[in-house]
Amino acid sequence: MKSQNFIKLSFPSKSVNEAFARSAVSAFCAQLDPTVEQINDIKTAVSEAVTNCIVHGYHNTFGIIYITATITENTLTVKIVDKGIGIEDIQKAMQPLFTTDPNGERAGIGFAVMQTFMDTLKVKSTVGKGTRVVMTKKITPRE
Amino acid sequence: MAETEFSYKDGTLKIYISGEIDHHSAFKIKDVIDSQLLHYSPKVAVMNFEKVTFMDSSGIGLVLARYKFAQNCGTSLYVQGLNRQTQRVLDLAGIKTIKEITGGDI
Repeated sequence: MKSQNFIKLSFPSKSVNEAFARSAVSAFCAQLDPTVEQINDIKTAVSEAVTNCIVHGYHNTFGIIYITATITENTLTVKIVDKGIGIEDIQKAMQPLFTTDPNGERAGIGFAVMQTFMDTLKVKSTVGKGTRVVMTKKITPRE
Repeated sequence: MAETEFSYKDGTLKIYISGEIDHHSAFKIKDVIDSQLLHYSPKVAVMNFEKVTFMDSSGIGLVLARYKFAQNCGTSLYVQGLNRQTQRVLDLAGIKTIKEITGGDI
């Protein structure tokens, strides 16, 4: 069995917790000795996923967001789950610039950011049940 | 947490943003910026990101929505002081206008 380490977080869908969530995951990842850029990538991806839970999953109402971060050898896996409204058409939701925000304050590229800044991204959603985002990033040891 | 400071001189409004820009903080500073744009109706407005320590895609929304808002006020909006991380996020928008309003010393 590969050596494994993990953390589990759960917190209410308050936007003030976005900063906490990305800081907590990046602090956990520090044991892999990532570069500043890798830390920023992880922070940004987590921030996008948590924002999605708050803005879309729970539509700015109250709900709980669950994060599990796991380190297996050199790979960080982050699972971010909400039990909100779910996504009807994941492909459409993942299209860059697709947004449900009528005010134009949201750019609609959250998933594109996660895809670009992490190595892998998987999104599973059931309408009425919620959404699960799983992202991984390999942190190669520095010479 | 993000904070804003403003300075106005000769038709140019400088908007200094500091701290972390995410969905939470962008929501708080957007109205402050808009009210200053309305108040001064400047010819030129410059959003300075030098003291921004973190930014996710909320920053793109913040810039694009301000860009539209400024246009309606007859203001040209520029973005300045991007670092590697903030530039990378803005690049992801893949929109030419972002490039046009990026850079240039003002």
